[in-house]
Amino acid sequence: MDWLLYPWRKTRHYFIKRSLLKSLRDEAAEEFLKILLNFMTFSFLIDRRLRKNIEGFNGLIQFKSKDNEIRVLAEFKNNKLKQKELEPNESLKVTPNATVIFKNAEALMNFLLPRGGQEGKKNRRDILRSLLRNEVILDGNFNYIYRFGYLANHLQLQLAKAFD
Amino acid sequence: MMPEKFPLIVDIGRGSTEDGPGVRTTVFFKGCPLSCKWCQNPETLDPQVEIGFYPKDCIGCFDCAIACSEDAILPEANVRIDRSKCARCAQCADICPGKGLRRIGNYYEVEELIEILLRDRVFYETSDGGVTLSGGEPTLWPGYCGELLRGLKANGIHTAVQTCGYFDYSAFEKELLPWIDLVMYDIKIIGPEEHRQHTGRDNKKILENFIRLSKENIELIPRVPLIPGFTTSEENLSGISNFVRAGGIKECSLLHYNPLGLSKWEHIGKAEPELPRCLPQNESEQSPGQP
Amino acid sequence: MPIALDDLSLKSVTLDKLLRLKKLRDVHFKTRPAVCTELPLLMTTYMRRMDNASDSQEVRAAKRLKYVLENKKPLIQDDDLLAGTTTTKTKGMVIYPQFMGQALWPELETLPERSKNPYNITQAEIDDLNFKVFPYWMDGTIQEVCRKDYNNPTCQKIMERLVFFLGTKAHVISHTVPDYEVVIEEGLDSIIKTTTAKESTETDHKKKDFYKAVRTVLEGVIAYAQRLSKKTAAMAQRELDPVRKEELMTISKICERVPEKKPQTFHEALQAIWICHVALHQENNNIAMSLGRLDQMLYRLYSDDIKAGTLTPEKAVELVGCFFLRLVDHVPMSPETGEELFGGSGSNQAITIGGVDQNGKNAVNELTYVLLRATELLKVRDPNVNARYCPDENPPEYLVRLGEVNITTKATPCFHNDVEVIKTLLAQNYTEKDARNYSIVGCVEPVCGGKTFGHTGAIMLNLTSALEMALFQGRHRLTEEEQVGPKTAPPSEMLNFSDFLNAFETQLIFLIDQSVELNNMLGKTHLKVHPLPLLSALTKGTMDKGKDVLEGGATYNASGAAIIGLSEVVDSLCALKELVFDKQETAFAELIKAVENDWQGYERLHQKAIHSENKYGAGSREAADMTKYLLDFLHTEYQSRENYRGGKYTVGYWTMTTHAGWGVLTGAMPSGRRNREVLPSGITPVSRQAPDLMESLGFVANLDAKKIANSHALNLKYTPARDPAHMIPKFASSVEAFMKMGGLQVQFNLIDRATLKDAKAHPEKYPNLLVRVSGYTAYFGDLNKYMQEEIIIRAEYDLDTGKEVW
Ligand code: SF4
Ligand code: SF4
Repeated sequence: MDWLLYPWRKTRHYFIKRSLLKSLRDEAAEEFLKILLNFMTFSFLIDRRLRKNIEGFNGLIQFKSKDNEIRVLAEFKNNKLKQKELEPNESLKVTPNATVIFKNAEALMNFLLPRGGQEGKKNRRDILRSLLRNEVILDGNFNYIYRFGYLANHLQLQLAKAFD
Repeated sequence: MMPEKFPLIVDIGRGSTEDGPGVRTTVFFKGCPLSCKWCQNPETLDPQVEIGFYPKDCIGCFDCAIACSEDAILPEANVRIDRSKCARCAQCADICPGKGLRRIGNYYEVEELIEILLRDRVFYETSDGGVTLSGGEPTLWPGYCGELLRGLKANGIHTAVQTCGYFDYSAFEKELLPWIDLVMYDIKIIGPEEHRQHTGRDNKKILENFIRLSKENIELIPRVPLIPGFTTSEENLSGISNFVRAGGIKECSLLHYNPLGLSKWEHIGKAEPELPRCLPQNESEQSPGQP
Repeated sequence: MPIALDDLSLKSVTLDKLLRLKKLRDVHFKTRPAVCTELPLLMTTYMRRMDNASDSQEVRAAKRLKYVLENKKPLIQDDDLLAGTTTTKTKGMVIYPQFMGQALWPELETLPERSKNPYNITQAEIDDLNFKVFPYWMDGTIQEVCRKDYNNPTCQKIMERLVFFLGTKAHVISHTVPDYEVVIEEGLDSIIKTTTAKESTETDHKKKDFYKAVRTVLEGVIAYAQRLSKKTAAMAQRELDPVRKEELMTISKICERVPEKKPQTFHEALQAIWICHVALHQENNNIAMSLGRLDQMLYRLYSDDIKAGTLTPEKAVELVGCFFLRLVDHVPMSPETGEELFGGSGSNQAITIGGVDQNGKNAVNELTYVLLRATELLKVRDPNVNARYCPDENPPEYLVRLGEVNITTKATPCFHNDVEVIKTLLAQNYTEKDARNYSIVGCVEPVCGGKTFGHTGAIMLNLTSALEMALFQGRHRLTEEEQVGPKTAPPSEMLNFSDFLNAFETQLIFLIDQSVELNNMLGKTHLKVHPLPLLSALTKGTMDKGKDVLEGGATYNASGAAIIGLSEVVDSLCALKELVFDKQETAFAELIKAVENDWQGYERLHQKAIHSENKYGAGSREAADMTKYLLDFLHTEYQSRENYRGGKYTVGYWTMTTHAGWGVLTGAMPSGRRNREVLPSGITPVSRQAPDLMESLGFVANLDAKKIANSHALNLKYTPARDPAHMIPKFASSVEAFMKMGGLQVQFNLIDRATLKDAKAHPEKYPNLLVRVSGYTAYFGDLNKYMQEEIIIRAEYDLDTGKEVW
């Protein structure tokens, strides 16, 4: 029982969960990416079972908006996820394995949480569909994004269970 | 009635298997000497060009009003042409973008028509089909049809003619008969008075022509349209049957009536004739009777 | 042996008599497909633990496949007469980790909840894929190795925008007919002898390795057969039912002999092919791996058995039926949106029947009718049955029978005209014998089975994209402001139609170049990452050349492109020419605004576009000339390009379901088309624009088949008559006429619009309704809504009137 050892993390995790859900509900999606990554970071920290998903996974995924205003790096390394915000014109030392360029916040949300937030099953999206709609453009190794997609989906399912 | 100098054609129906043996292309001529009250193709009655109006296809642009020099365009939803003013110049139909107004009746040079009909030659060959002249009444233009049929025969095409029988036999015999393989001959009503009453003409000529034709070396199929209230009485049918048999013909085909044809009157601005109310509802799907 | 059947329809052979088939068929329809992890797990385990990186790629691939075959579970379905299964599931989705299996990764946990085509998967299987399989192959798929090796090439990026063209090689190369004739006429041991001899004398290392690899994989196939034999023998031991016990013993004996040795009975031949087919699917994606001319290949053994009295036509239908029901034991992998936009397909394994023999003489035989009866009884989507018909050479009763089966199954078989197909192949430098011996791959594509490696579905090109880019100076409305193609002149600078055509050609050539470049890169990567020793062993030419099929080892080499949206583009080009230049009804800029606004506010112009007389399939000279121009242009351009194996590109016009998917992504067009409408399928006219059946048949028949070397799918619907007997002769004569006019291929759905609409609204009322998509057959209920809609609106003709019904 991880959380007994890390009660503060657990509490913080709870609040992140709440804010994530809130951002889904309000569709206040600007903050959504950061909150999601935050949520993922903490989930990996506190849940050993979950951590297994990223064991040995080394990868760098960049998310950026089309206008370059939002740029966030997600780095999987040493069985941890770290995130970093970038300045619009900041150059990268290492080329990311994959870059997700999204049209707008809503597009990103559809892409990352294909189960569609509150809309549930009805409006299911997946990576391919986002590509088809030209809501996102992928550059780089698709498999990294598929893997990220699995993690996002998996967490979303867990979340849904926890709050059901 | 005096036919136009040139025949107009309402439609060239390609690929029908209902107008004679095999797969056929049917040429529908415009103009008919009879005016049967139940006519299903009222646009083939008048030998002149007509303008049909199809409200469903009209987008309300009124380009037609600009094109019309007779001031005959009306702004109503279901009526677009004041037929009393209309000179049938078809300017409006030519300009209409949506095909809300359509020209009915086109002239084709014989060679042009033969060229079109020969396009389907392979279909005739693989199905033992051919070309059928229908209408309206093709025999109104013996010269034109004769040339057309001769041209088709020269290409080895099976030819058939559908007729109401009201024609001048000598012209028919001279111009058409040598090039025809099959005649489908309508006999509607056997009693002369009823015939005149419902079709506008006496049937004497029709019956005489039939007898003469039955003696020719040609395939002849009499056809009786089954129009409830007009032709379906026991008396009429047995009368026709006796008449036909007397001519030595054993086969007769019965045509089921398609009440859907009725709505067509409106498009050409004619009043729908009064019909008895006993029309069956489900006949519309029936295919023509087999001999 | 002359045909000795009293009744060519074999009406006395029914499912009520063949209870085994009835049962197996029920199982097929009742089983929900499930993900199978056997293959990816075996492959991954091998790569992690046993792979020797110092071996050549060819040998590594061979050893890996041998390991798979040696460790794959030997299974037989209850009651089945043929042993061996593609996966461990009754109906298994095969995951190929080196192809694009990872695309399923995000939705592993929600697969069973899919609204269309859900799949079963267990938690253990999810964990296997998520923890063991997928992570291992992240940098090793063909798609990603290609990206890395060629430094993230533009062509790949364009393809990954999905709307311009698809290069399928990263996912699937199968699309071919393996040489099953050698399996029947010689047995695998004869290839092993040849390859062993070559291996020992060959001095060139690379070739030596190739021979070694071939030997290795064939040993693997035989090992799999032996294990099936042991397994069935063991099952026989335990079996209590004496009849089944006997059957299992027979099967065990058969698997002991074949495919190693030359089969001696009809049953043995089917079993031999099936084992090889299963083995090939462990190496090659399960899409469009086709079987060739079964009625020719199997005929000798069939008639021997009949003569010997050990086989009856009824028993043959049963065996063939078992074989068909084996072919549906696997489904291709497709991610959810892929399913929704492009999916609903089976594995699309084609078989070919009828036609002429190598001497040009009638080849229809008793077995042809046996295969037709099995098709008629089972009504399953695989195999995709392709009937060759040679007017004046094949007997009329054969055509009548084909019509009858079409009317009962509503969707199959489709028709290929021998005269035209053979002409086309001769123009592609086939020998006369090989051309006459053609068989069909996948949807409609003719190849010489066993001799051609023709990846006929290598490229799918969206022709409307080229038009779109010409209208918008190299941009596409979907990808918005991005400059995808070269910047061509704006409409204001186009003074005549040829200015526009110049722009169109520039964009089209750009797309052709990109699609070819990508295909060639993927082909080379495929060879590097995943050579195909088993498919090479079963393709003629490779033994002499000592080369893998991916390197040009086959006798004939080609790659196929399929063009989507032909009739739509013809109508649009004609409308543009007429409205802007010929009749000057509108300024070009206005027309562009109109299509940008989906014709809103441009009613008049819209009507003019719709009612233009220059429509594809409607007797217009202008449209015919435009079509000819496009066919010539595409054929010349693709043929002038060489693939990575020294073969040429051929062009075809069939669309699978891409026309539905791409239609949704495509905006309004000058033809009068509106936003998001589905595109017409195959080479079929746009619905409601070709009202006469004869005219549209004639229009397509008059196209020059030599320019359509990858064939086409003409998809039509005929309204079913109440009395089928009344309809058969009409149906047959329409096909005969189409072919006599020079038609290449045609296929039908014999279902009316009302029924299809009802089936869309109430799927439960129509379980397993078979329909023809564009090339293959599928179950209507499995198709996405766009595809269903396309089949509903697809041109339907009434054979009584010859008119399109609306
Ligand atoms: S021109 Fe045609 S579409 Fe326009 S108002 Fe007249 S009938 Fe209607
Ligand atoms: S046919 Fe001529 S006269 Fe008649 S309404 Fe049309 S334009 Fe006017």
